[in-house]
Amino acid sequence: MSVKLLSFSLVVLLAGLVSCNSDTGSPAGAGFNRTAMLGYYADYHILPAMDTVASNNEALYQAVLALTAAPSAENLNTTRQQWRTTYLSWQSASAFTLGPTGEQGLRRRLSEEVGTFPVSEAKIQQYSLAGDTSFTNFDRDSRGLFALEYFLWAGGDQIVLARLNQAQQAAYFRAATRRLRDDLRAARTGWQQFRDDFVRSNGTSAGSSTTQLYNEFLLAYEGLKNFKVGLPMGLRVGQTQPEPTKVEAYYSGYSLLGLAQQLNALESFWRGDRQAAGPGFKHYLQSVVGGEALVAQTEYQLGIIRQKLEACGSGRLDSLVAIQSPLVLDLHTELQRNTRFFKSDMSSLLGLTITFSSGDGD
Amino acid sequence: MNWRYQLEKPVSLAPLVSLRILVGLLMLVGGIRFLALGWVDSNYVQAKIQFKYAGFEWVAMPQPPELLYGLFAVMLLSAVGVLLGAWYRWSAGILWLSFTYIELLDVSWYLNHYYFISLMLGIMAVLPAHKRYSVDVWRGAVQEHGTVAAWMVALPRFQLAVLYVYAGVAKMQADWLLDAMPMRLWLPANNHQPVLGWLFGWEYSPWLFSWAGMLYDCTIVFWLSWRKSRPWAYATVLVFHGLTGCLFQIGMFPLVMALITLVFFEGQTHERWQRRLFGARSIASSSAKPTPIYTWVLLSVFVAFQVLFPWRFVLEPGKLFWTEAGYRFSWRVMLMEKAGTATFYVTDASGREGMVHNSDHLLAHQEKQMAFQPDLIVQYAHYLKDHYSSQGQAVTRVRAEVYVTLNGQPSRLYFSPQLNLLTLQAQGSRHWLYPAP
Repeated sequence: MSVKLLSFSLVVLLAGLVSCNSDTGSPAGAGFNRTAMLGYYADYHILPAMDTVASNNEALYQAVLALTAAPSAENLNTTRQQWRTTYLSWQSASAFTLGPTGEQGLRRRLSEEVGTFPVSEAKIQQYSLAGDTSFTNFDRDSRGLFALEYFLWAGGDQIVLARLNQAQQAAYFRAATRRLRDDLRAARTGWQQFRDDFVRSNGTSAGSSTTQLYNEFLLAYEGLKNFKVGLPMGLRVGQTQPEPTKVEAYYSGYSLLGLAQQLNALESFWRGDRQAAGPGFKHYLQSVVGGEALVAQTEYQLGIIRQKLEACGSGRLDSLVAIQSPLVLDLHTELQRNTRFFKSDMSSLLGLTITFSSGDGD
Repeated sequence: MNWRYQLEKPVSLAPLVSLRILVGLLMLVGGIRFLALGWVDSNYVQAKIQFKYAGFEWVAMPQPPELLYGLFAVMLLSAVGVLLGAWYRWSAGILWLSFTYIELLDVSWYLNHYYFISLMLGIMAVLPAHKRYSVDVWRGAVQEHGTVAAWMVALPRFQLAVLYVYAGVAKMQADWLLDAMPMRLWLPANNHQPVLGWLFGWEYSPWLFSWAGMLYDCTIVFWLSWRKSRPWAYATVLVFHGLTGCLFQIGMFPLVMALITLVFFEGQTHERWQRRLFGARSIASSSAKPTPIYTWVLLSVFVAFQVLFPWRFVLEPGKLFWTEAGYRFSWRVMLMEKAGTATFYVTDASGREGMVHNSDHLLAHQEKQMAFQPDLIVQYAHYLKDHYSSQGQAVTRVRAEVYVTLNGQPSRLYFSPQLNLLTLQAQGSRHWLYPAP
């Protein structure tokens, strides 16, 4: 072969490698249609969730303005109701920390900005006394939804109202609320603009929409198990006893409600049954070899988890945690049992990688 | 003796000169790519733990870890030295050692093609690939030569043959050929690809690809060696590695194979290419010195090792894919789909047991690899003991609940969740695993 022919072949090889590594391709080929799945997730899960939480939070913002202008039992009650609505709708949005709500978008993960718990009362006090409302620090436990919860509940009605009468505290509360509003607004607008790019990236490599969506789903599930249940129960290595104050929504006591809400959202995400009948990850699994068996196992285990969660009742999670209730322990055990179905088994059948950056394989 | 005459007879140096230039170039591009992707930081500097290779426990991250960038700089510089044939013996030796050191840092990043490159660099370091078209000739450090002993050109070809043939033999098993596993999992994930997406999604493609892959690996060296089939064989090499490059995230590997297999072309062909690229230079052919006896001994040991080492798994009990005893360094490339979910529990002297969050200690990639490789599981258990002991806990037991899925089968318990992993050694036998499903 001549040098020319050889160089030509190599250039063809290189061009082929570069072009096929791009993650957007033909809209529909043989087999499962990932484009349709991504469209479903964008239109029936992500965009509605971002829209709902942002709208609810607008109302919360207005309520906080009214409350800090005129602290009263009535205004406090209204604001608390609005916080509850926002908190519950956040549970459907928290898993979508990618694209405009991931590190590439806001330059910080939305789930951490909005949902970090437990908050640090000391840091909140420190920043509010210093009049520092820049929120440029990395102390995410001094802002977000649960910092607002602190201002609305911590210490009981009298102390809450007294705190709101202090100018610096009220100012920090308002600023944190405005910050949350801005973040959730940006998340909503960001996703409206990102929607088409998200759907177009229909491959399965490390940076693809499907892989990122899957990884965030997995992260949210493991976060629910480890941080919303395991950590308060004192199950993590190094803990010597339960730590009831580390439950999510400790001040308001809505922990179990929020837990149920997020579990619903994650289940309906996996099943692909919110408003329309998918296609979601369950349908994707049903289209691949070995998928039906995994779907059956997962459905069975999700049923048990639901029973265990209902057994915990609708009281305060921190009270159950404080007495090391076997009900909560059972819930954790069953959540743990399901982990492998979502983690190794699902990623293996779908050919998705459990890493966010792309290393090489061989 | 006839074999000795065949191996010592002078042949053209040209294939080795091409190999030197291509390997130098690949190492340079590969190293720069690794740096540009930020992998030095994300894969090494950020890691809190390195999984060790048996016998190479002494290979450790430089302190501070950022010094690794210095090692990369040394590697890139020596790659340039190899490419240009400048201070070649030093450059090739340093390139080989620095690359191999980096590869030995963490077994969780093990790749067959990294092992292959290490071997290739070792081979290049002992061959006189700098005796033509090199800075060393130009500066008068070595005398220009047009020929070398035949075994010197045969050695890199042998190494390629080992890689391909063993990769092919490894595919001769029921999962791969009859069930088309794991191709039936991997191909449909690529049905979005432009142009060829329909083919990857077609229901019979997994069998087509499995058989074609096996036949390609087993026979390509023969087709490349036979003059009449060589151009077609090389075109097949490009198509095959182009396709695998499209399907799998295997980085530089397709390019590495596409370029290094050029060594199968005859000396005359390489000479023609080099004349066109660098200009014609006539050279007096010189008679080669006889190869000393110790070289024959070393060569025989190396060849025997390469031929025998991949077979060591037959000495190990249990199913190879399940136990992975003897799996590495055996050219089992893209052969199975395996994944695990591993949860570790640490017990202290008071009897209290706590669950470990793997992400506190491991990179996502490390966790993924550890979760289905027995020796890494044991290494991690010992690391956890050391880590929590240093935090003042008297760790008495580390156990783990590990579920492993192989080729799409439902995941199963890998070993008893009650087993105290601290009683095991990473390099010990793997009798503690449950039998393969």
